[in-house]
Amino acid sequence: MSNVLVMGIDSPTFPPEVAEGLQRAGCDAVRLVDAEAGEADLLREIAGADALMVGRGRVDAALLNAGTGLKIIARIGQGASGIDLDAARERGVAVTHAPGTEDASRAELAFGLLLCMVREIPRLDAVTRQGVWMRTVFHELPGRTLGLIGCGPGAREMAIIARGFGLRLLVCGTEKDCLSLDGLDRVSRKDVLRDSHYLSVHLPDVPANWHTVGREAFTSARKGAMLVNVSGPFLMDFDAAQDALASGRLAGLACCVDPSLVGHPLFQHERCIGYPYDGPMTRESFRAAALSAARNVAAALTGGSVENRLA
Amino acid sequence: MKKVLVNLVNYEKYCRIGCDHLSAHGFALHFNPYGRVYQPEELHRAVADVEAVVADNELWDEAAFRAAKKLKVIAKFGVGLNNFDLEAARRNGVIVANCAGLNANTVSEQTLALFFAVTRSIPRLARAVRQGVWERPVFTEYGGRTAGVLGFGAIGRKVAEKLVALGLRVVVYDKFPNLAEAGRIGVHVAGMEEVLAASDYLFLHVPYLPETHHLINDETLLRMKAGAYLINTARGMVVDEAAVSRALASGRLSGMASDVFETEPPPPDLALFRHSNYVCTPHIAGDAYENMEANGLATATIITDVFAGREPKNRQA
Repeated sequence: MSNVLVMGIDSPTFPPEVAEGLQRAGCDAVRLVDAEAGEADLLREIAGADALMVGRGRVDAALLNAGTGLKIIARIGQGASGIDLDAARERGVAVTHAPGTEDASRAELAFGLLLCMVREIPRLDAVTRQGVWMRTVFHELPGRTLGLIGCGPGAREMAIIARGFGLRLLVCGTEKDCLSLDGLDRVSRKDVLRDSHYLSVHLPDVPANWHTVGREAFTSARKGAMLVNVSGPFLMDFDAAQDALASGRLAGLACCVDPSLVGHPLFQHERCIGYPYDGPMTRESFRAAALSAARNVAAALTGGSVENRLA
Repeated sequence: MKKVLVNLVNYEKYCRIGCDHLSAHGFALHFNPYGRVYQPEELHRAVADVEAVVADNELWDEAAFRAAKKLKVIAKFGVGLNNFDLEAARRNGVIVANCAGLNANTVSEQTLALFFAVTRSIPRLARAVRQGVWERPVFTEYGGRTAGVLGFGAIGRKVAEKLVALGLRVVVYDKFPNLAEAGRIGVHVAGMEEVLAASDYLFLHVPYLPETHHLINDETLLRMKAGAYLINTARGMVVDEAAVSRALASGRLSGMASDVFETEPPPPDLALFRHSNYVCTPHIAGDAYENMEANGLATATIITDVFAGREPKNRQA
């Protein structure tokens, strides 16, 4: 019998097929700790665990030291998020994630934020409720250019939606499985930055990519460009983004944040939309990610091979 | 020199091509000095000696037409003619034409922006992030869910195209649906009741007419799918706002978003404002640079066509 600890998920229970699959694989002791549980609770709970499934939250060296029996940390979601990969590697604990499970919901959110940013929906909603009948003018999307930074499956989902709105698309990236869609121009990163009215980040959320969108990117971007990033908060340099907004170099920003970034001064800027996102945000993506994570937990605990390793 | 009164605020700023077209054809342009829609008495004074008008949403009733003794043509900026008594226009020998079809794309983009905003709680969560509050709801993906579109004209079709691109199943109702367009876009044509009952997201794109007054009311809300979302970028009076407020309070509706109100500007104590699952914008869907230029040229062309003895495009009276 194996002990599986689950932390940082929104629902009080797993989808039934996830719980059932784990049980069939011999993991009858599946315990959930609250997403907002204190550190002491977590340290106590992890002591007897063979596997950890994580939706969101930090998994640092201290937690790993307490989890001496851990064989695997399976992230319920895309990317490493708050998991200290080096610490896991040093202790011989495998870390996996669930790529692909959030592509559709992230693209929906990314495009939704793009439109809301162009049309200033949060600001207009606020002032209209305050009794101000404000006028503003904006651009329509057909004929304007959306640049995708990253060319994997997530970028592909975004491209499909964007094409339905008549946007011209440019894409750059080095990933092997570059998206292929008719009429899509793959160009250099420099060209994407220079020629795009709107930019959207679609890179894997791994430490190697953090701060990819930093000062250099904002300096190279077309003046008055707007940026969307829901692929991981740390893919973007927040301080550089704040300066780019303040100088007018960037005309709009919509980005995801984790709990550590809530209330960042960047979000006081009227042209900045922050959105809380630190793990699967739809029922559908959570289910797919939980199934993927459970598959890896079962494999790790029964000597099988795990997929989608980050460490 | 013939006088054109331009009632639309910002025409001079955003419709340069239209202004130039009128000037080149020998018209003298007079602009609305109020920065808002004309009140009736202001309008009646302003139109006394003008030959043509570029209209916004000011009231064109019998009294207005009588006050405009030299008026020959009104070019309505935009589409909606609910501020016009077209019979009175005919009686007074005034030609009225609008810019049908031009604003379809910009209105459809606003519709989709409001759809994303209300279904992903974007304004509310952005405010929480700004205030330093961590809140993180869970949503449902759009793919495979059903969107209903009431009214399948130029705007309804543009909205349907975008919803299809998002992977939604789309059902549409129209009194006289264009089946070729439905087939091209890939939507199902259905009866009004079926659209109401099947839709997770309901979009209103009908004109405001006596028969569409309060089309969405206590009774139709009960015939909608429980927990649906409602998006209105048509006209405010198509929706009974008090009924929608009750449906938001009871949870019958999961959310509502609108660019239009029963009274514009809305009163500050509007019941809808009390709901956090309501999102609104100030009747701004048409205000894109591209659409302003296109409408500017179209209204100017209506006027120069009439004075050149040609039948204007989209004549309504």
